[in-house]
Amino acid sequence: MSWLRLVLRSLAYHRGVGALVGFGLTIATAVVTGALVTGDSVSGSLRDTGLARLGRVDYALAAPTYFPTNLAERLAAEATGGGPAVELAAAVVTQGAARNLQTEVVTPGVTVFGVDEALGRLQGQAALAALNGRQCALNRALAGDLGVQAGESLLLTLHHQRSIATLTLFARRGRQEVAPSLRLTVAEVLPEGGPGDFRLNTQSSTPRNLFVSRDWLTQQLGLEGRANVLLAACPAGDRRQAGERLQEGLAKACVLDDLGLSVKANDEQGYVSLLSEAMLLSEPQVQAAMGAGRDCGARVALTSVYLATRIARSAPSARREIAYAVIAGLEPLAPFPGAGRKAAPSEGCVWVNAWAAEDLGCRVGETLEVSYLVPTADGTYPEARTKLRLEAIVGLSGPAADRGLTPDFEGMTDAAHVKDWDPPFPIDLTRVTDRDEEYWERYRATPKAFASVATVRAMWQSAPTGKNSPWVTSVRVAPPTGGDAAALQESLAEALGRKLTPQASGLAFAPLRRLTLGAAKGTSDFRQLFLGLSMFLVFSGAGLAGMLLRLSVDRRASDVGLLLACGCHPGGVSRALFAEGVVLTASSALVGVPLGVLYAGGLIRALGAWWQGALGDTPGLWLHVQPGSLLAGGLCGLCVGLLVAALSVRRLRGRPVLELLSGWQAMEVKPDAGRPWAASLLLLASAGGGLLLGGLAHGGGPVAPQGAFFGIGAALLVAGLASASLALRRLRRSGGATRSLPRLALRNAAAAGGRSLLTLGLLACATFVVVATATNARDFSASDVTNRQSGAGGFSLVATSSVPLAFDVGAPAGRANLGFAPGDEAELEGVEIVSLLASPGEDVSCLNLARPSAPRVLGVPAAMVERGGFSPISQGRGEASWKLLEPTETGGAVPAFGDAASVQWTLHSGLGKVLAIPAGKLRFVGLLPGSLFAGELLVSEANFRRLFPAVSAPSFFLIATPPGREQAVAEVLRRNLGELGLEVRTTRETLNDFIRVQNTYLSMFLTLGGLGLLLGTVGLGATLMRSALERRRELALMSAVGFDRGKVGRALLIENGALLVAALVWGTAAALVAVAPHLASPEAQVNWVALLGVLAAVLVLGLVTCLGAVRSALRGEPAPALRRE
Amino acid sequence: MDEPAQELVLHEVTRRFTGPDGTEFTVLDRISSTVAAAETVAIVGPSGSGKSTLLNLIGGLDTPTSGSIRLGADEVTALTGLELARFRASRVGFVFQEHHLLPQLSAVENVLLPSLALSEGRRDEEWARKLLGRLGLGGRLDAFPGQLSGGERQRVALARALVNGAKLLLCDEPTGNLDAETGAAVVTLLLDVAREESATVLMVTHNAAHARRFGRSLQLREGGLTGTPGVKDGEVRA
Repeated sequence: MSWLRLVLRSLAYHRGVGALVGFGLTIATAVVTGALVTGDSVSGSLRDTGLARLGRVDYALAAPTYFPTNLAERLAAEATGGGPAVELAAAVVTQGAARNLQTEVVTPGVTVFGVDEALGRLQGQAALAALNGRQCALNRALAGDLGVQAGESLLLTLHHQRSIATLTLFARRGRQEVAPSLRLTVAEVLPEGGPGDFRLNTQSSTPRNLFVSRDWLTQQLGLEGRANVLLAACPAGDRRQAGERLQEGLAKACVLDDLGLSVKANDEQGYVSLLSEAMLLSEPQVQAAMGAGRDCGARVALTSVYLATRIARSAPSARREIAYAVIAGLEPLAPFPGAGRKAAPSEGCVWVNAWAAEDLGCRVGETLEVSYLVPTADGTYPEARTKLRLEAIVGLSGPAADRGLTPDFEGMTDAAHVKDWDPPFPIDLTRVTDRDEEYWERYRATPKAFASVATVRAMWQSAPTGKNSPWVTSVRVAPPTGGDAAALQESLAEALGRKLTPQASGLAFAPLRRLTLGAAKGTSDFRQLFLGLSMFLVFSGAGLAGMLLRLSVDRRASDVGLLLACGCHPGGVSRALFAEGVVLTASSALVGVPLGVLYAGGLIRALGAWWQGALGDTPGLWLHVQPGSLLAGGLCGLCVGLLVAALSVRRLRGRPVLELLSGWQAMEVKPDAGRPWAASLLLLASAGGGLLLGGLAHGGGPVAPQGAFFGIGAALLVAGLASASLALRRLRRSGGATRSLPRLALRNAAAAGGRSLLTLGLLACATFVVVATATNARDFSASDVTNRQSGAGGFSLVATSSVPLAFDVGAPAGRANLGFAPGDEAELEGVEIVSLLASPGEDVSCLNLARPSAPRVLGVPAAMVERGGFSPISQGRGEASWKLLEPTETGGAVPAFGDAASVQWTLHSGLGKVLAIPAGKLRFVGLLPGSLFAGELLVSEANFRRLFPAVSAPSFFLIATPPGREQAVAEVLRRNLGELGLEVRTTRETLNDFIRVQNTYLSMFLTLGGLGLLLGTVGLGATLMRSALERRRELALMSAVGFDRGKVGRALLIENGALLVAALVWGTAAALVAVAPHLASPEAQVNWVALLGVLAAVLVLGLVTCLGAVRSALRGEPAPALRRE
Repeated sequence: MDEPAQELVLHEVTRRFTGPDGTEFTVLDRISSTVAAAETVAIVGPSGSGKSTLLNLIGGLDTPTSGSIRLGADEVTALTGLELARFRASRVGFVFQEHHLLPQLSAVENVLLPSLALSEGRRDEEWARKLLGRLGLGGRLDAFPGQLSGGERQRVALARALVNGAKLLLCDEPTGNLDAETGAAVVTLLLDVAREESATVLMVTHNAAHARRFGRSLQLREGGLTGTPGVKDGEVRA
């Protein structure tokens, strides 16, 4: 005889219970393994999809402005060095909308790629390399949306990002200028899942891509030889080093032209000037130029040039004026002829040249009125005036005759005559005189007037972009006296190159492949998510195993007693029992792991269907089995099993041998068992806790109402269990058990008080969790979106535009400029539209499965800060003011708001925390609960312009409509702006999109939790069956004293059924209290049918199991059972 | 490996229990007695008189409230947990009213169960087979308890008590669940084996006929122990 033989014999003999224990442990192992494999599969699928989309691309550079395409060749030479070749391709990437010319179907959100042969090679797509003229290639998703095939035509409207900021005087904002339309023919539809689905960020959704020839596209846009994106492929194994070489090489290869800057020598005036394609130099560029000039030992002066629409003598008696004169504000480099000792105009003063003075007939000392246009968002250009004292009349020579002060502007400075000007602002050419034309012919755009730098700066900054917007048109750098301007040009360019690094100018390579791999880990840890969702099943499986193992051990107490009586070492006996658990656990792990893979397969399939409905464009999901997860799942199952076994064996440890020998009266009825004072105390504590929570939540107290109600529900549950404990105790002590069958049954339940309470507690808790969670589903279809404090902020529609709108769609004039018909205004009466600037970037809501690295940011205009709404939360659960967004920075970071759930779950950040994004750092000063802004982060518009200077027109719109007019307003907007890719949706739909994912997880929890509850019921049934078998003698006695089988059966059914029903009712009631505030809200959307179905299934299965237990217990004749007594 | 039977001495043994309501009651009150080596003793008395308690105290399954029990030179009441286990494994054999056979083991395996307690000097299967053969179960060696009659089970239990060579057999109403004929046969076997093994036997019984077949009888009543006629050398100190 050996311990091993004893263990094996025991396992074989108790195989029935062992199989049930193994079943429970197998379920636990399979569910844990399955959850881990599901997490791996989602991450793996995202990774596969992301890498397949990338093709060979490893790094991407998306520039804020266009650069010469030859940067690719220059950089390739620098980055390759002596190492393996780095391949580079320059592309044009912009956004647009496509229209099927046959069906008129419009697809917004199209990413347009201008590609060349190099990119075709890089992506291994010959079709892309072969594109020319009006040919285009579409990815399958876009072709599907549009319903077009190869050979068919479409109309593409794309965003032509102009270098000059939208809200400046010289910005071209016409529809054809910012959103030209091109007729294209589909040459090829690219296969799904490959480089045709390439995107510059890591967002999980499938993009809508359209590819055209880069050369043809830039020709259409007037950007020949330019591109705004560089894509790089590095040799495998050299990626990280190649990335470093790329960024280092960029610093060497980059020239000012790549940054949209130029240095021009003005030999006549003896200086060089730094100019920008954007007309205005940004503050960092100005600072760099000043520093570089000083480094060269040169003199530096700022220039700001504006166009005065009118310069007039102020005196009413001598009303003479000149039209459309350039006025320059400049710091002096050389003395002006006729200005005396004055180097520059004094503040509040103006100098005019002799030509202008002659036209005006003015004299020094009199007041001139200078009028100029102010650009506005709606496209009107109101005239502003400033009165300046004429301080000097300067001769038209020297610096006063400097043509180079005025930057080149297409359509004006290149015109032969003033009457040929084609400016973006309104101009009255009838006011242009022959004298003006003569001046133009002789002096071109030489300023006629000069003012202080501050005066001209104020003209630029009169635009809505505000007082911090750029205003310097050039920085003039003069060599020391006697120096050579041409020599300075070269040294200044070099010094500027050192100051203006590509990185500081927004030219930086993003490690797209590495980001894709990082993003594939998901917004949340999918392994944890699915483990959480499946945890109920794990607990049920482990609980089932635990209950059965415990029961089995209890029943074998006398065996243990015998071994101890025979002198066996208690440790040896425990080890033998534990060894049985080990064998069961190991077998369960071996079976559970492969079962887990099957379970994961089922979950993946279900997820594919659920997410397809909730997320729309989910990438495909495939099973990815990682050995680590199998090992972890198996080990987890082993740990659970061993813990269960250890806890079960522990019950017998230290018990007296005699007690064990007598079979250990685990079921002994002890009328005074338990601690009534403890139950009473628990009852009082839970009732008190519930009341306290209610009080703390009342009237905006420190506890959130939802949390408080959940706490109250839980307290109710505990109070119920405490009451049940007291009631069972009372029943045990009461008489009259034989008066009726139900009373006898209840007395029996009370007799097994501990087990009954355990049954009641476990089932009620499980019911509570399942019901409370499952009833949290929401639907915003009926919610009141007109309430400003709601998640919709009082807006009924939300719109996004593929092409940013250059005019304010919220104002009638802006709409007229956007092409709205006058008749549309009636439909838009009483409509409020708030326009927000939107950065490129990734969705941070749950609709994006991938982990975002560059979140999309919105710029909140001052009007919306004033308006408020959306109930943002700040520290201490108080309502935050939108004014918190206004400071330039808070603790070294830009203040920002974010959706509470997105910030917590997607960005893993929180209130007061700092989030680093590529453009800078954001600090969350407020969170928006359940808002429209789940996909974006919010900063003030002023801060947005600093973070994203390249974005100057809004593309995100919030629309408040009069009640019942949502559809009509949406229709008008779609009709007029549909071709620009304007998507209009109701805020209810948008909120529902966000909540649908959450509802999906709740459905999954209801399904898995329901399965867990069912499993728990089966386990409970098994325990009851064992219990009934244990009580066969008692049942036989009942039969012997005259109870017929039906009565005995009914007594057992009532006993166990009463516990089951009580648990279900109490757990459900407590859960409904917990979710009462949610149920009372219009957003509550509970799938009562599914929930009641689960509860009914639990009840039915529980009763069927009880019936089975009864039948099993009553099988056979009563006499033998009695004889054993 | 077998040691000879040794004298058993009980000195002033008292056992008190505490009831659920906290009241103490005395089951055995200062009992003293000596059982000679290889003597057979029947312990009789009414239900609740402490017969089983006395046996449990002697076998080290329970500890007296006061007094001492000595087997040979060893003071049983001075032994601690593991020493007691070793004492039970090598020096005492128990036979209970309930046979307490493990249902998953065959007759031979059940007999060998106490050998698990010994790290050395374990009996092998051959020894167990012979022992069962001596008890008339030669044809039922591999039968499981469920396949054995009540008398057969009790004989297996007797073999199990003897397997480690114990020279003190403590039998707690081994015939209580058996009919008269089977019970008598089991007692006969018990006494025969005890004689052959020169073992001391203490058996609790309600059956006067069975008691008369033992060398002497001790009667337990109201916590005290008295000798009955035929007592050879019993000392009674009430």
